[in-house]
Amino acid sequence: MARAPSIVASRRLSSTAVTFSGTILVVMLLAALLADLIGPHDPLSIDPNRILESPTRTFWLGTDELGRDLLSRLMHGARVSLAVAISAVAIAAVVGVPLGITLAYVGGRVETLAMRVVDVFVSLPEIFIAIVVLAFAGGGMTPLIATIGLLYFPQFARVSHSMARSILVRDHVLASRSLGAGPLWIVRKEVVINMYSVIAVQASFTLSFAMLTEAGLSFLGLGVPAPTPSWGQMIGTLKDYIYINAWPVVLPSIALFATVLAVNVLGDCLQDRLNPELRR
Amino acid sequence: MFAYLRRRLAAAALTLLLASLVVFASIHFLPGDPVVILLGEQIGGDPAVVEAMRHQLGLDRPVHEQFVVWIGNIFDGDLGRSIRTGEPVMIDLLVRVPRSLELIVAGLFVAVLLGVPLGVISARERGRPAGTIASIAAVAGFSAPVFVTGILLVIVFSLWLELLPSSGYVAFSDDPLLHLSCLVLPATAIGVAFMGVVARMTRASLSDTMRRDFVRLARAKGLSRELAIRRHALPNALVPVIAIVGIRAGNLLGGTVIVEALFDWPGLSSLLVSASFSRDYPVMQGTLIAIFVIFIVISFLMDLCQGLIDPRVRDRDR
Amino acid sequence: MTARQALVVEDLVTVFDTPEGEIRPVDGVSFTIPKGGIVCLVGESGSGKSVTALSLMRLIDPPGRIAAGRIQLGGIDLLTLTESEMNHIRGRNLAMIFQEPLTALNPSRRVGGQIAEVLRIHRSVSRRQAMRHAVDLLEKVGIPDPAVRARAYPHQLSGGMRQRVMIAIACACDPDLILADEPTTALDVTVQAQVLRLLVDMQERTGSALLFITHDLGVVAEIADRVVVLYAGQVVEEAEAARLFDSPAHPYTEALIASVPDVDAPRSPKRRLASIDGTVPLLTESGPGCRFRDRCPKAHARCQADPPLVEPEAGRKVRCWLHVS
Repeated sequence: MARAPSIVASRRLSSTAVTFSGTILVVMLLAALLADLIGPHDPLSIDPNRILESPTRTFWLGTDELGRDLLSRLMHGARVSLAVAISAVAIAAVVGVPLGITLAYVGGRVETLAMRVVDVFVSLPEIFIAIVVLAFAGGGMTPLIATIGLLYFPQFARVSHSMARSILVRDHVLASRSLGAGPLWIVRKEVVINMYSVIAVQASFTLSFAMLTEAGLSFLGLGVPAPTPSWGQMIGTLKDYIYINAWPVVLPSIALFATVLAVNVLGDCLQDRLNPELRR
Repeated sequence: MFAYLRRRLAAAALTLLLASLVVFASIHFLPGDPVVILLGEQIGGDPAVVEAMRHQLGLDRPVHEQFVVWIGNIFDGDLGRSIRTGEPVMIDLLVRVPRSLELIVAGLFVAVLLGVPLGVISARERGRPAGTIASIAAVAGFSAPVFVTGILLVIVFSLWLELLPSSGYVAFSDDPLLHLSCLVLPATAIGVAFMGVVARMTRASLSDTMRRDFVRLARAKGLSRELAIRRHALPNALVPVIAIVGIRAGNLLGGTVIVEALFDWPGLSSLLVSASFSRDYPVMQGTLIAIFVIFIVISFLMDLCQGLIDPRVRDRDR
Repeated sequence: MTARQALVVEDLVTVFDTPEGEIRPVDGVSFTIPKGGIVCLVGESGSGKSVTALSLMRLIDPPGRIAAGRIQLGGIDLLTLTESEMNHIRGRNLAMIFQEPLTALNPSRRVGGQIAEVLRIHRSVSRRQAMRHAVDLLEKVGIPDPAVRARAYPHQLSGGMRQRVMIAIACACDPDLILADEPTTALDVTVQAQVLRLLVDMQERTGSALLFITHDLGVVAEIADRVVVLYAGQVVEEAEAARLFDSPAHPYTEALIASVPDVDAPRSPKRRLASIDGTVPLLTESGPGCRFRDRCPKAHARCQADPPLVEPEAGRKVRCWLHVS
């Protein structure tokens, strides 16, 4: 009868919240994927006569400071923001997970030392390093994605390390090891299979962090290079014009908020369903 | 208590050393030659001048030597001079550190002021409307990026209500009231973002603690449910909350980056950003170190608080 | 009549509302405790013993609730009191000792203060006076160096000492009734006897009645005046201790007594440890009929219907068809 209280609470929130979040994410994904097809205007075309307008019949959501259509820019921004975030998470996972597993296998002082370092990394404010690195690496998508990816690989390393550790000492795994099963075989058969759910949950949390970091960096002018639209960058430029028209800046803000919220809620639900024992 | 303090100090020192290594490494192993950038394309084309400059700046010594010299200088209080302005970095830092600290402390204050009660309500009134509303507010705060909160606040309080300034900074000594009014919005922006974390942790922790036997014993002694929760459950429940604040202090600091940019608050983060744009090595290094020091100090203080509140933490082996 | 009884429980029913349906850990329990007497509440895990105790204290939180019955403490029905009136009773007239003192004591407060707290809640004493009383109580419960120990934290004391602290807390205001929920189960065997002795001593000194919950018949034999046997949320037998051990009326009681290994009996390879086959039924599975019939060696046709609670002799009650003519 004893159900962990948070699960009961999130069950109640969950059905409405999940549908809501799922819808938001689907909308954003569609916008991102079909931006070229559905977007009414070219996101890059400038029209100095129609700057900072509120929604009109031609420009459904209004225009920005250079007269570009906000709706189209939002949709392309969705593509950019999501693409960057997802790629960064992929990099982080691809680097972090094998590292974590290897460390768990290696054991000994190397493992303890490395994990201590990882722990420190996970708690340090990473955005500062990103700023410095990006300033030097110059603009561009590749450095951006690489940097964000590398910022978050320690989190994956940590999670996969602790999972791998606990799997490696399970009785049947110990049995296999004592029978001479080599590391690669063990990793493939035992470790990886059991880690999918944990990695998936970590990926969802990291995704929201990555989106926020990319938005922050673009906001500062260090992220996605203009004129490519990204939500963070749009917010950064449009904020200077709120006294003329506050509406344009609100749009990418809401888009960002809604998407991050949706990812968080779904991540939470994923966490509850897949790992009821582990609570963050 | 003192043994615990010593252990935490040692850990903090170690982290600091690690952090300074990271700072040093991240700047020195990056593409781009600061000397060339500094001298500009014209003069930078002349190798002799570049070499002379490099020697003058000490950038031609072996890396590990540079590191040691650098650490030594830090202890001397010499963080070098800005490549751009020639002013000692230390001076700029000394001016800016209190401003960023102010922002962080104020933000933390807001976060705790809003977050703990929200957490307590959602734990205590679970299943009832007040509790659900509080939970939702917490999740929303947690998910809203600092921008969004910041911009929303500006729109409401500066644009519509015209109550508070939307940006800028005035020294406390010049005009205390104006200074504070400039502080309110950025601090709230940071605070609201962090409030969600605090509320969530408080709720989770209090929900767990409320169910523990000693709360039941408190009621068996004759304390009402509210008093039992407040006197017995809450202090114990706050321990992990403090821990999470310590761990997530990084988030608070990270929040300052956006907020300082959004509100034109001249603190450490904005210095870092401008220094990064101009590739001003010494300033970047100094600022990063200052930021990490602040971070480590906050964590240490949080460890201290934890040790004060929960005696078991002191006896625990590191 | 009520003057002779410290506690009279009548038809107590406590239910829990779960997504799977309603659970009744306490399903119509009735018993009495004489003033200053010791009654042992016996049963296996899952019989509803702890829930009964918590119900008496009215410490049942949602999704649980007390659905029916009367709990008369010194003539007052506790179920009719407001929460604030109940707060006055708890700790003062009615006290409880929990099973695991490490979790029951507040880990971040010194033990002296935790004892003093009870005194300050119910009596208007200053902090200093309360602490002095607390140290006094620590001495009474046999803790050496009480003034020093009062400043200790729970995790710095041994299990036995922690339980003594719990006893001190319970006895601080000279309650009319002490509920002890398996207070010795979590202790080392060597310490158990000491703590048991202490509890009985304190109880005699304060003149309190004692409801001692346990599954250990050895303890029952040692201290009980009367015994109440609980099975699946119902009272199946209630009798004076000596009579119960001499001639148990209910098959469950018989089986319980039989399952206690007899150290003095001659060893023989054929002798097996007597145990009761089967397990306690799940609290949701209460259809009609005697709840023990699946495990009862004497079950018969009548057992398909709910057995009534009868009084085969003065001062003894049994819920079994075998005693119904």
